[in-house]
Amino acid sequence: MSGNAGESSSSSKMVENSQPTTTEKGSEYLEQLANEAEELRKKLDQERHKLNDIPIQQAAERLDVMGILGVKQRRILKGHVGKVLCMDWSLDKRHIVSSSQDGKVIVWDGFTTNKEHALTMPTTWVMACAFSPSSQMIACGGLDNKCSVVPLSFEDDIIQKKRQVATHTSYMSCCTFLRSDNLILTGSGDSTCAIWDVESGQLIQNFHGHTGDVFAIDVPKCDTGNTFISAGADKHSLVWDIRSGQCVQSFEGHEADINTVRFHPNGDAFATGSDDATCRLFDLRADRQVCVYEKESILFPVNGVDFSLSGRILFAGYGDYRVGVWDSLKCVRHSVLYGHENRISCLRTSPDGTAVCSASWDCTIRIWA
Amino acid sequence: MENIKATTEQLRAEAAIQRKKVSEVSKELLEYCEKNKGGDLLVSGPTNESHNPFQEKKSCAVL
Repeated sequence: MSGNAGESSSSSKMVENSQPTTTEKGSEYLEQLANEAEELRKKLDQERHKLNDIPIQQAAERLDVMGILGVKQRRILKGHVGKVLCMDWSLDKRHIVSSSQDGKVIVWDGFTTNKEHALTMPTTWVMACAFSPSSQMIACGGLDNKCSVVPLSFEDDIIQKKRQVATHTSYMSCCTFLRSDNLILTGSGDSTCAIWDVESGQLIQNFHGHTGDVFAIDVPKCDTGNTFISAGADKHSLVWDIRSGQCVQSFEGHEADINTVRFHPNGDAFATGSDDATCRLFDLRADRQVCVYEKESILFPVNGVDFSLSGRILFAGYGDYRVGVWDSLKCVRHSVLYGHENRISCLRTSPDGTAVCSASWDCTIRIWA
Repeated sequence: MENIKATTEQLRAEAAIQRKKVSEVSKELLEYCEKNKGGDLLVSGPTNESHNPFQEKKSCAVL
C-alpha cells in the first residue's frame, strides 16, 4: 500500500519536472498524464477488489433475526395541496418542516399534527427544506436556484423576514445546516455543492467534482467536523474535505441516478438510494461498496433512505409508494410499510430514533413508529 | 488539459488511501449495531425508562 503511494508521488514529481515548453511536449505530457490516470484507475480497482473478502451478510449470520417490530403509521400530516418534495426534523424531535411543489413550506408539530407556520414562497417546486440546529430558523429553496432562510417566531407574517443566503446557477436540490445556524451546505443542479455564511450570504467554500446534477448531501451526525458526502446524476457518491474543498473519496456501483444519501450513525459508512431500484451501503474505511439491498420484485426508484438509531434498520422510501424496512446487516428486506398513495419523495428518521417520517407526492407526510 | 491534470491528481490521492477489508468493517458495523440496539426504539421497542411519544394513543384520556 505505502509502496504504491510512494510510487505514484515519485512519478508525479517526474511529470512536473518535465514541464512542456512546446506544443509537442504539451501533448506528450498530456499523454503521460492520461497513461498515469489509466494505470491508477486499474490499480484502484484491483485494490478495492482485493479487500472484498467476506460479504457482510456472512459476518451477520450469527446475529438473531429481527422480530416483529410493531412499526406502523402513527400520524398523518395533511395540509399541502401539491406534491410534498422534502421534509426535515427539528432537533427537538417533535417539529417537522416540509416543502411542496405548489410553493408552500409548512412547519408542523409532529405530536399533535398541528400546523405552526405556513409560508408561501414566490416560486413553485420548493425542492429542499431544512431546520436549523437551534430550531429557530428554516432554510428552503428549489427552482428559484436560491436558498433562503426564514427565522421562526409567532409574530405576524414571518415571510417578511425571509433572506436569500445562497444562489446557484441551476436549481437547488438539497440543503442542510452545518453544525450551527450560521452555515448552510447546499447541493445543486449546477453539479456543485457549496457552503454559505447565513448572516452575510457569502460563499465560504465550493465543491466541484460531480459531472452531473447533485441530488443529495449528508453530514455525519457524530461530527468530527471535516467531511460531508454528496451524490447525484453521475451515479457517484463523493466524500469532501470541508476545509480544502477537495474531493477525498469517490464511490461507484449504482447504475442510475442517486437520489438520496445518508450516513450510518457510526459516521464511517453511508447508504444511498437510486433510480436503479437499489439501496447500497458503502464504507469509507473499506473505500468501497459493502452491500446491495435489492429484490427482483422491486423495480421502482428509491427516493429516501435513513437508518434507525443503531444502524440495524435501513428504511427506504420507494416510487411504488412503499417504505421498505431492510435489515442492514443481513441484507434482506424485513417488512414493508403501506400507507402512501403516491411516490415517496423523502424519508428521515427522527433525531432520537423514535420515528420515521416520509413525504410523498400524495400531498401527505406520515410518521411511522 | 487542466481537466486531465485534476483527474490524475484526484486518482493519485485516492490511490494513497489506507483501506480496510470488508470483513473488518462488517465486524465493526455489527458491533456498533449490537452495542446501540437497546436505545434503538424502532428495533427493540420502548423500554421501561423510555416511552415513544409517537406510539401514545391520543384517546388515553378516556382511561
